[in-house]
Amino acid sequence: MKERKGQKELLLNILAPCLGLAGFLLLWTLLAKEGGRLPTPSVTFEAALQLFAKAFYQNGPNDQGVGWNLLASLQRVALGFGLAAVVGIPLGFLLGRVPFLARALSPVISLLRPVSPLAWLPIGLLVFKAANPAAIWVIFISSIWPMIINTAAGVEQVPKDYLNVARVLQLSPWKTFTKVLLPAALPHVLTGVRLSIGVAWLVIVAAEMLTGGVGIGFWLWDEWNNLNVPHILLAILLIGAVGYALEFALLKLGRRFA
Amino acid sequence: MDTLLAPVHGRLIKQTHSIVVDKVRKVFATKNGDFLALRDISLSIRQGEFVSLIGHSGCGKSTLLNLIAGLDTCSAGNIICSGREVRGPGPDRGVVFQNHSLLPWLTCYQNIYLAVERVFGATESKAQCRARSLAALALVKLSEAAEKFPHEISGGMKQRVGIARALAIEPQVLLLDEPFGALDALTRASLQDELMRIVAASKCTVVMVTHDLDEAVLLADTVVMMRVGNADMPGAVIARTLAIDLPRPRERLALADQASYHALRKEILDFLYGEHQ
Repeated sequence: MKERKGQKELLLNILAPCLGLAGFLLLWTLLAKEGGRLPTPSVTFEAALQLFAKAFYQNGPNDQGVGWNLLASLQRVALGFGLAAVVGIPLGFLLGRVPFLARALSPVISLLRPVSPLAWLPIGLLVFKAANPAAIWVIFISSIWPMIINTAAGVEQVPKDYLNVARVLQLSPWKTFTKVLLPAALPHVLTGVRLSIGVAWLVIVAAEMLTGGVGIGFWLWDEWNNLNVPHILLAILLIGAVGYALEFALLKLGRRFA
Repeated sequence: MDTLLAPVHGRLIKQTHSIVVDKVRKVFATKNGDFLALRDISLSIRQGEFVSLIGHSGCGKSTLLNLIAGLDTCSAGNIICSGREVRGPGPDRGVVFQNHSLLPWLTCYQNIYLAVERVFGATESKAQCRARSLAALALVKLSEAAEKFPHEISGGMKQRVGIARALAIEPQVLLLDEPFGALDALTRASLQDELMRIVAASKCTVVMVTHDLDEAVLLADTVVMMRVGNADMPGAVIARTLAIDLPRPRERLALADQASYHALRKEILDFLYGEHQ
């Protein structure tokens, strides 16, 4: 019985994902064979070996290895997302605790949240007069909403019983925050953070295509101008892998605290 | 109750009275207009007295307890507790909540320490606060569960930690809101015995909300019976108070054979299910 259960889990957890990936590769190969424009997986794989062998070369500011481009993008995301967390999470706590403020900001948030990220780019260029801060601004403004909204929802949903404990003991505001509100809202906050990092990573690639400079999004666009299709495919896979890794790391972090 | 003087803000009323509830009225604003929950409730409780509030659900007994705890405010009238008017919650009143309300991210020990630190942290050393927290756990016989989290222990144990937390701050008044309502009969009985022992030792004033008349008779010095309002007379009132003059220490098995116990029990039974309702 136990052996059978083990087999079933093996089937589900290992065999099924492998089959999915194999199907993906097969489809890719077929498309490459038929269309002629798309490089086959094997060609792409060979290009990957060459590319990643010298991922960190540097020939001046406009010709750097893909590794440097990736790191530049991650740095922008870290900055924009970090700033968004620093502003968004405390703001979410305030909104969750002060109903008046929540009502006051609700129309503004509802209005600005659905705006497509790149629509913010001209404002960033206008204000900062440089491409790099503008890209960081776009990440900031598009990744802040999930953190504000989830944190506020989490704080609002803190059970009244827990808050009554704080009231009965007359805990100081700081103790109430650290011992009651923060731990109670933490799972929601971390969900917001996880959604935000996903958004930030989605946005950076698009923003860099417009702003240029160094970055994985710019690199991808540059390879399109060079008509190096295997590199475009590799950039797509790389962006996907990094995005997945970021979300996975935060999911693990969230589980630790939940 | 008759000897009660008109309470004056903040002034000491009567040394022997721990809690004085004076013409308290509570109105809740609802979607369908104002709802009168309590109508002119007056009650005085002696130092060290154990009072049970009993009545059908919705009779306002928990509302009255919340007012004494300071978690809610009176719409009219006032409440004096330990010589001071109640204006909010305070560590002079320990509260045991219906559903234990332990913070799940803290261990049993940490839950108690949080309370102890708040009340004694300014005047006592960390070691003394630690000792107080451990002593409170020992009082409810849960020393071995100190490092356990609330989800790792049973419902009865959680409620005991809740009692330990309330007692660890050495309150003058202990307020219990149906503390054993969610427990099975056997656990409830052992916790009632434990509560009797603890209260006898600490000598604090106790107000307990319950809907279990056996519990009320077993534990209380005075049973306060509350009656729900009706269309003619909205708002709950105190229908009557009954002194439980059974000698202490009380033993549940011995009580079962006593005529006086059954007489008291019947009086409450008549009230709960008789013509009044």
